[in-house]
Amino acid sequence: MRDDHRNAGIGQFAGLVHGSITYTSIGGMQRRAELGGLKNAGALFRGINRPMSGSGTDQHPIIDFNDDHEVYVYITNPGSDYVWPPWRRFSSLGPQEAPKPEASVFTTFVVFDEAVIASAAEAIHEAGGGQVDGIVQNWEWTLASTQDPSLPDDFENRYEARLWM
Amino acid sequence: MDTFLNKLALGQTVEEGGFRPVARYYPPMDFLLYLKEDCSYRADRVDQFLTLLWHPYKDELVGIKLKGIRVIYEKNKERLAPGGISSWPIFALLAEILLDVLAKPLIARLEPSQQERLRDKYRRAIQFAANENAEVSSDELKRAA
Repeated sequence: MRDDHRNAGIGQFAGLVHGSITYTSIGGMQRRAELGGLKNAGALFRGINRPMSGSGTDQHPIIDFNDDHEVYVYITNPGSDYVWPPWRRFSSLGPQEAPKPEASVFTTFVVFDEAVIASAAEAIHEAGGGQVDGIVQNWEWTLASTQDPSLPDDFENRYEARLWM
Repeated sequence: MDTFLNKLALGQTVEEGGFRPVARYYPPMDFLLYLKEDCSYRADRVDQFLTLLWHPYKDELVGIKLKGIRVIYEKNKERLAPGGISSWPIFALLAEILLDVLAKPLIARLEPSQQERLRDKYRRAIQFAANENAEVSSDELKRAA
Protein backbone atom coordinates (compact mmCIF):
# COMPACT_ATOMS: atom_id res chain seq x y z
CA MET A 1 0.00 0.00 0.00
CA ARG A 2 2.76 2.41 0.93
CA ASP A 3 4.88 1.48 -2.08
CA ASP A 4 1.90 2.03 -4.37
CA HIS A 5 1.18 5.45 -2.78
CA ARG A 6 -2.31 4.36 -1.71
CA ASN A 7 -2.48 7.12 0.83
CA ALA A 8 -6.25 7.01 1.25
CA GLY A 9 -5.77 3.54 2.68
CA ILE A 10 -3.08 4.77 5.07
CA GLY A 11 -5.42 7.52 6.26
CA GLN A 12 -8.15 4.93 6.82
CA PHE A 13 -5.80 2.76 8.83
CA ALA A 14 -4.93 5.74 11.02
CA GLY A 15 -8.46 6.87 11.71
CA LEU A 16 -10.58 3.78 11.37
CA VAL A 17 -8.39 0.85 12.35
CA HIS A 18 -5.94 2.31 14.88
CA GLY A 19 -7.95 5.36 15.84
CA SER A 20 -5.35 7.27 17.87
CA ILE A 21 -4.39 10.16 15.62
CA THR A 22 -3.79 13.80 14.98
CA TYR A 23 -5.91 14.83 12.02
CA THR A 24 -7.49 17.81 10.33
CA SER A 25 -11.25 17.95 10.65
CA ILE A 26 -13.66 18.67 7.81
CA GLY A 27 -13.92 22.16 9.26
CA GLY A 28 -10.15 22.65 9.05
CA MET A 29 -9.30 22.27 12.74
CA GLN A 30 -6.21 20.34 13.81
CA ARG A 31 -7.29 17.74 16.35
CA ARG A 32 -5.75 15.02 18.46
CA ALA A 33 -8.25 12.27 19.14
CA GLU A 34 -8.78 8.76 20.40
CA LEU A 35 -11.36 7.60 17.89
CA GLY A 36 -11.46 3.98 19.00
CA GLY A 37 -10.86 2.49 15.57
CA LEU A 38 -11.35 -1.24 15.49
CA LYS A 39 -12.47 -1.24 19.13
CA ASN A 40 -15.77 0.27 17.92
CA ALA A 41 -16.67 -2.92 16.07
CA GLY A 42 -20.37 -3.68 16.18
CA ALA A 43 -20.18 -7.12 14.64
CA LEU A 44 -17.62 -9.83 13.96
CA PHE A 45 -17.71 -12.49 11.27
CA ARG A 46 -15.40 -15.42 10.66
CA GLY A 47 -14.50 -16.91 7.28
CA ILE A 48 -14.82 -15.29 3.89
CA ASN A 49 -16.66 -17.38 1.34
CA ARG A 50 -14.24 -17.30 -1.52
CA PRO A 51 -11.12 -19.12 -2.66
CA MET A 52 -8.13 -17.86 -0.78
CA SER A 53 -4.75 -19.29 -0.09
CA GLY A 54 -2.69 -16.66 1.64
CA SER A 55 0.54 -17.10 3.49
CA GLY A 56 0.08 -19.39 6.45
CA THR A 57 -3.53 -20.14 5.66
CA ASP A 58 -3.16 -22.38 2.65
CA GLN A 59 -5.31 -25.19 3.98
CA HIS A 60 -8.17 -25.54 1.57
CA PRO A 61 -8.56 -27.75 -1.48
CA ILE A 62 -8.60 -25.70 -4.65
CA ILE A 63 -11.34 -27.73 -6.25
CA ASP A 64 -14.00 -26.85 -3.70
CA PHE A 65 -13.50 -23.08 -3.76
CA ASN A 66 -13.64 -23.17 0.01
CA ASP A 67 -13.70 -20.11 2.19
CA ASP A 68 -10.81 -19.16 4.36
CA HIS A 69 -11.73 -19.90 7.95
CA GLU A 70 -8.82 -17.98 9.39
CA VAL A 71 -10.00 -14.50 8.41
CA TYR A 72 -12.00 -12.51 10.95
CA VAL A 73 -13.98 -9.53 9.67
CA TYR A 74 -14.69 -6.67 12.10
CA ILE A 75 -17.53 -4.34 11.16
CA THR A 76 -17.56 -0.71 12.29
CA ASN A 77 -19.87 2.17 11.44
CA PRO A 78 -17.72 5.31 11.71
CA GLY A 79 -19.27 8.68 11.05
CA SER A 80 -16.35 9.89 8.94
CA ASP A 81 -13.63 8.70 6.61
CA TYR A 82 -9.94 9.59 6.95
CA VAL A 83 -7.74 10.00 3.89
CA TRP A 84 -4.33 11.38 3.07
CA PRO A 85 -4.62 13.54 -0.03
CA PRO A 86 -1.49 14.09 -2.14
CA TRP A 87 -1.10 17.71 -1.11
CA ARG A 88 -0.72 16.66 2.53
CA ARG A 89 1.45 13.68 1.84
CA PHE A 90 4.76 15.37 2.38
CA SER A 91 3.73 17.20 5.52
CA SER A 92 3.27 16.11 9.10
CA LEU A 93 -0.34 17.29 9.24
CA GLY A 94 -1.71 13.78 9.51
CA PRO A 95 -4.84 12.45 7.82
CA GLN A 96 -7.73 14.58 6.63
CA GLU A 97 -11.24 13.82 7.84
CA ALA A 98 -13.65 13.29 4.95
CA PRO A 99 -17.37 12.58 4.68
CA LYS A 100 -18.31 8.95 5.19
CA PRO A 101 -18.73 7.11 1.86
CA GLU A 102 -22.39 6.70 1.01
CA ALA A 103 -24.33 3.63 2.18
CA SER A 104 -21.28 1.84 3.54
CA VAL A 105 -19.79 0.15 6.56
CA PHE A 106 -16.11 -0.25 7.32
CA THR A 107 -14.63 -3.75 7.28
CA THR A 108 -11.28 -4.81 8.72
CA PHE A 109 -9.77 -8.23 7.97
CA VAL A 110 -7.69 -9.79 10.74
CA VAL A 111 -5.84 -13.10 10.92
CA PHE A 112 -4.84 -14.77 14.20
CA ASP A 113 -3.06 -17.67 12.52
CA GLU A 114 0.21 -18.39 14.34
CA ALA A 115 2.17 -18.87 11.12
CA VAL A 116 1.02 -15.49 9.83
CA ILE A 117 1.88 -13.81 13.11
CA ALA A 118 5.31 -15.46 13.17
CA SER A 119 6.03 -14.28 9.63
CA ALA A 120 5.36 -10.67 10.60
CA ALA A 121 6.63 -10.69 14.19
CA GLU A 122 10.26 -9.93 13.36
CA ALA A 123 9.43 -6.87 11.27
CA ILE A 124 7.04 -5.62 13.93
CA HIS A 125 9.64 -6.15 16.64
CA GLU A 126 12.24 -4.24 14.60
CA ALA A 127 9.77 -1.36 14.23
CA GLY A 128 9.47 -1.18 18.00
CA GLY A 129 6.17 -2.99 18.32
CA GLY A 130 5.18 -5.13 21.28
CA GLN A 131 3.32 -8.40 21.57
CA VAL A 132 1.39 -9.39 18.47
CA ASP A 133 -1.87 -11.28 18.81
CA GLY A 134 -3.18 -10.84 15.29
CA ILE A 135 -2.35 -9.24 11.96
CA VAL A 136 -4.60 -6.73 10.22
CA GLN A 137 -4.39 -7.84 6.59
CA ASN A 138 -6.77 -5.46 4.85
CA TRP A 139 -9.45 -2.84 5.41
CA GLU A 140 -12.00 -1.08 3.21
CA TRP A 141 -15.39 0.55 3.03
CA THR A 142 -18.01 -1.95 1.88
CA LEU A 143 -21.54 -1.38 0.58
CA ALA A 144 -24.04 -1.77 3.41
CA SER A 145 -26.97 -4.14 3.57
CA THR A 146 -30.27 -2.53 2.66
CA GLN A 147 -31.96 -4.69 5.32
CA ASP A 148 -29.49 -3.81 8.08
CA PRO A 149 -27.38 -0.75 7.17
CA SER A 150 -24.98 -1.46 10.04
CA LEU A 151 -23.78 -4.62 8.28
CA PRO A 152 -22.23 -5.37 4.89
CA ASP A 153 -24.40 -6.14 1.89
CA ASP A 154 -25.24 -9.88 1.62
CA PHE A 155 -23.65 -10.56 5.01
CA GLU A 156 -25.67 -13.78 5.25
CA ASN A 157 -23.79 -15.34 2.33
CA ARG A 158 -20.40 -13.67 2.09
CA TYR A 159 -19.10 -14.87 5.47
CA GLU A 160 -19.04 -18.30 7.04
CA ALA A 161 -20.30 -17.43 10.51
CA ARG A 162 -21.40 -14.48 12.60
CA LEU A 163 -19.57 -14.57 15.94
CA TRP A 164 -21.09 -11.56 17.67
CA MET A 165 -23.09 -8.45 16.95
CA MET B 1 1.11 6.24 16.09
CA ASP B 2 1.56 9.72 14.63
CA THR B 3 5.28 9.12 14.21
CA PHE B 4 4.67 5.81 12.52
CA LEU B 5 2.12 7.33 10.15
CA ASN B 6 4.30 10.27 9.34
CA LYS B 7 7.09 7.86 8.50
CA LEU B 8 4.74 6.12 6.11
CA ALA B 9 3.65 9.32 4.45
CA LEU B 10 6.86 11.34 4.67
CA GLY B 11 8.89 8.38 3.49
CA GLN B 12 7.48 8.93 0.04
CA THR B 13 9.51 11.41 -1.90
CA VAL B 14 8.44 13.64 -4.75
CA GLU B 15 10.95 11.84 -6.95
CA GLU B 16 8.99 8.60 -6.57
CA GLY B 17 6.23 10.18 -8.63
CA GLY B 18 3.29 9.46 -6.39
CA PHE B 19 0.27 7.32 -7.16
CA ARG B 20 -0.25 5.71 -10.54
CA PRO B 21 -2.80 3.10 -11.53
CA VAL B 22 -1.28 -0.34 -11.27
CA ALA B 23 -2.53 -3.90 -10.82
CA ARG B 24 -1.02 -5.33 -7.67
CA TYR B 25 -1.27 -8.80 -6.16
CA TYR B 26 -1.68 -8.89 -2.36
CA PRO B 27 -0.51 -12.33 -1.19
CA PRO B 28 -1.91 -12.18 2.37
CA MET B 29 -5.46 -11.76 1.07
CA ASP B 30 -4.86 -13.47 -2.27
CA PHE B 31 -6.39 -10.79 -4.50
CA LEU B 32 -5.39 -8.62 -7.41
CA LEU B 33 -6.35 -4.96 -7.00
CA TYR B 34 -6.53 -2.34 -9.72
CA LEU B 35 -7.34 1.22 -8.65
CA LYS B 36 -7.39 4.14 -11.06
CA GLU B 37 -7.01 6.80 -8.37
CA ASP B 38 -5.82 7.16 -4.79
CA CYS B 39 -9.16 7.48 -3.06
CA SER B 40 -11.42 5.61 -0.68
CA TYR B 41 -13.75 3.19 -2.41
CA ARG B 42 -16.90 1.20 -1.62
CA ALA B 43 -16.45 -2.53 -2.16
CA ASP B 44 -19.37 -4.17 -3.99
CA ARG B 45 -19.04 -7.96 -3.80
CA VAL B 46 -20.24 -9.52 -7.04
CA ASP B 47 -19.32 -13.13 -6.30
CA GLN B 48 -16.42 -15.30 -5.08
CA PHE B 49 -14.11 -13.93 -7.75
CA LEU B 50 -14.98 -10.29 -8.41
CA THR B 51 -15.56 -7.16 -6.35
CA LEU B 52 -16.35 -3.79 -7.94
CA LEU B 53 -14.85 -0.72 -6.26
CA TRP B 54 -17.07 2.35 -6.43
CA HIS B 55 -16.16 5.98 -5.85
CA PRO B 56 -17.11 6.95 -2.27
CA TYR B 57 -19.68 9.54 -3.33
CA LYS B 58 -20.36 9.03 -7.04
CA ASP B 59 -21.82 6.30 -9.22
CA GLU B 60 -18.45 5.71 -10.81
CA LEU B 61 -16.17 2.70 -10.84
CA VAL B 62 -12.67 3.47 -9.57
CA GLY B 63 -11.32 -0.05 -9.43
CA ILE B 64 -11.80 -3.79 -9.39
CA LYS B 65 -10.64 -6.60 -7.16
CA LEU B 66 -10.06 -10.10 -8.54
CA LYS B 67 -10.11 -12.64 -5.73
CA GLY B 68 -8.66 -16.12 -5.35
CA ILE B 69 -5.83 -15.38 -7.77
CA ARG B 70 -3.80 -18.36 -6.58
CA VAL B 71 -6.64 -20.69 -7.58
CA ILE B 72 -7.05 -18.89 -10.88
CA TYR B 73 -3.34 -19.05 -11.60
CA GLU B 74 -2.97 -22.70 -10.66
CA LYS B 75 -5.98 -23.78 -12.73
CA ASN B 76 -4.92 -21.75 -15.77
CA LYS B 77 -1.16 -21.84 -15.53
CA GLU B 78 -0.64 -23.03 -19.10
CA ARG B 79 -2.52 -20.02 -20.44
CA LEU B 80 -1.25 -17.44 -18.02
CA ALA B 81 2.41 -18.36 -17.82
CA PRO B 82 3.66 -19.07 -21.33
CA GLY B 83 7.10 -17.71 -22.13
CA GLY B 84 7.45 -14.41 -23.89
CA ILE B 85 4.30 -12.75 -22.55
CA SER B 86 5.14 -9.85 -20.29
CA SER B 87 1.61 -8.76 -19.32
CA TRP B 88 -2.06 -9.67 -19.52
CA PRO B 89 -4.92 -7.24 -20.25
CA ILE B 90 -7.16 -7.42 -17.21
CA PHE B 91 -10.31 -7.33 -19.35
CA ALA B 92 -9.14 -10.58 -20.98
CA LEU B 93 -8.39 -12.14 -17.61
CA LEU B 94 -11.89 -11.16 -16.49
CA ALA B 95 -13.75 -12.22 -19.63
CA GLU B 96 -11.88 -15.35 -20.65
CA ILE B 97 -10.98 -16.86 -17.31
CA LEU B 98 -12.93 -15.41 -14.40
CA LEU B 99 -16.25 -15.19 -16.21
CA ASP B 100 -16.10 -17.92 -18.86
CA VAL B 101 -14.26 -20.61 -16.93
CA LEU B 102 -14.98 -19.99 -13.26
CA ALA B 103 -18.03 -17.80 -12.70
CA LYS B 104 -20.40 -18.91 -15.49
CA PRO B 105 -21.10 -22.38 -14.04
CA LEU B 106 -21.89 -20.76 -10.70
CA ILE B 107 -24.02 -18.01 -12.25
CA ALA B 108 -26.02 -20.63 -14.17
CA ARG B 109 -27.29 -22.05 -10.88
CA LEU B 110 -28.86 -18.73 -9.82
CA GLU B 111 -32.33 -17.35 -10.38
CA PRO B 112 -32.66 -15.58 -13.77
CA SER B 113 -32.87 -12.11 -12.19
CA GLN B 114 -29.71 -12.77 -10.17
CA GLN B 115 -27.98 -14.17 -13.24
CA GLU B 116 -28.60 -10.94 -15.15
CA ARG B 117 -27.46 -8.81 -12.20
CA LEU B 118 -24.15 -10.66 -11.99
CA ARG B 119 -23.60 -10.67 -15.74
CA ASP B 120 -24.20 -6.92 -15.80
CA LYS B 121 -21.60 -6.41 -13.08
CA TYR B 122 -19.08 -8.55 -14.95
CA ARG B 123 -19.80 -6.50 -18.09
CA ARG B 124 -19.14 -3.30 -16.15
CA ALA B 125 -15.86 -4.65 -14.80
CA ILE B 126 -14.72 -5.81 -18.25
CA GLN B 127 -15.65 -2.45 -19.80
CA PHE B 128 -13.87 -0.58 -17.00
CA ALA B 129 -10.69 -2.63 -17.41
CA ALA B 130 -10.79 -2.19 -21.19
CA ASN B 131 -11.32 1.58 -20.94
CA GLU B 132 -8.45 1.84 -18.50
CA ASN B 133 -6.16 -0.32 -20.63
CA ALA B 134 -5.46 -2.04 -17.33
CA GLU B 135 -2.83 -4.75 -17.48
CA VAL B 136 -1.21 -7.06 -14.98
CA SER B 137 2.38 -8.02 -15.51
CA SER B 138 3.30 -11.68 -15.77
CA ASP B 139 5.73 -11.18 -12.91
CA GLU B 140 2.92 -9.89 -10.72
CA LEU B 141 0.72 -12.87 -11.60
CA LYS B 142 3.56 -15.27 -10.88
CA ARG B 143 3.61 -14.03 -7.29
CA ALA B 144 0.42 -16.06 -6.86
CA ALA B 145 2.17 -19.27 -7.90
